[in-house]
Amino acid sequence: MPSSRFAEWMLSRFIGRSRASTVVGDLLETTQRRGDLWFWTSVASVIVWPFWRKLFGYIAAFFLADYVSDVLSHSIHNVYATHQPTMNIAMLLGALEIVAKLLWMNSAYSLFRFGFKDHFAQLALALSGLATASVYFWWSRPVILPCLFALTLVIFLSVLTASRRAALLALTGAVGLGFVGWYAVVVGANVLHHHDRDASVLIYLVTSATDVVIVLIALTACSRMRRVFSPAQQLSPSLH
Amino acid sequence: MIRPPALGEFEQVVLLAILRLGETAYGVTVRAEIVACTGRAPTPGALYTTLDRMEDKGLIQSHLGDSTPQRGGRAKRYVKVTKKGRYALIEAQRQYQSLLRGLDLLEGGTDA
Repeated sequence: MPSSRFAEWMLSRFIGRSRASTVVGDLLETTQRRGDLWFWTSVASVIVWPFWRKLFGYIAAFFLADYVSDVLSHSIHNVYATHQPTMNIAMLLGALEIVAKLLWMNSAYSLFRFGFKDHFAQLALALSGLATASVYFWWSRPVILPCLFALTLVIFLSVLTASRRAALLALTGAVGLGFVGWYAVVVGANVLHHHDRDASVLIYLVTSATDVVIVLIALTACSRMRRVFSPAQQLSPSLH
Repeated sequence: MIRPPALGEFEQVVLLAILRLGETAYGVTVRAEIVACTGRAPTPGALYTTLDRMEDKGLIQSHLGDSTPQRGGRAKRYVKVTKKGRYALIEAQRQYQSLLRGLDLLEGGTDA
């Protein structure tokens, strides 16, 4: 017989003690026909099943943010050299770059977690594209003007229905909180860097952790804001 | 009139299995009933997550029952469909029926 007490203890961390006890009872009843391997894979599936969308959403958001960050930074660097923006435009582009990364994180996370039909995911994806195009082509009027027009249209369409309005508010809140969190983490890491110039391993660890902490802050803000503004849409459409 | 919650395909399968089993519906029997009727064996993760979610949505109700030595002395969690769950299931089936109306899919077998 497998170590059912350990399985029950582990399951109770995720689904509560009462439910864990009955689930382990059910699995033990079936295990006599199917074996220990089935028992443990079943325990793992009960733990992972409710969270796999969230887990993959986090992973996708992390890697997409990293990729977008590289692409945008590279592009801005090249464009700066040729178009030489003023200080104000440079600051605006820097802020827009962070917003674009936060929007891509929210898009990846919400697409995994809530599906493509979700209004929040659709809005995040549309705005991610617009923000990225604006950062890339801020110097090109034929691109920026349609982007601004499309942004106005997206916002106008979003305020027309209650669910899209809720998605717009949730996304604005998520990006706003993510921006503040991002700024706080980056400033914190810089302060640490200045205090401890020689400890390169520590700096490396802090810098690596910074990326993870930023993603965690941004996606926690995304979940919280969605819960506040769209409590009825918390479950994935494919699971309804 | 309040619209019933929309049900996914697997939620309908689980609700129907519970209704078929009546008083004896709990995790093991629900899974066995689904296997017997559909030939599909849901993973325990999918089944228990769906049962928990449907209970949170008020579609089913559960109560603890007897325990056996086979289960290491652990109680069974019996489930039954609530009025809200039954209503949601009827609505979902009605939608399927209205889509099927006029088609001879069931009479015509699998021939294209």
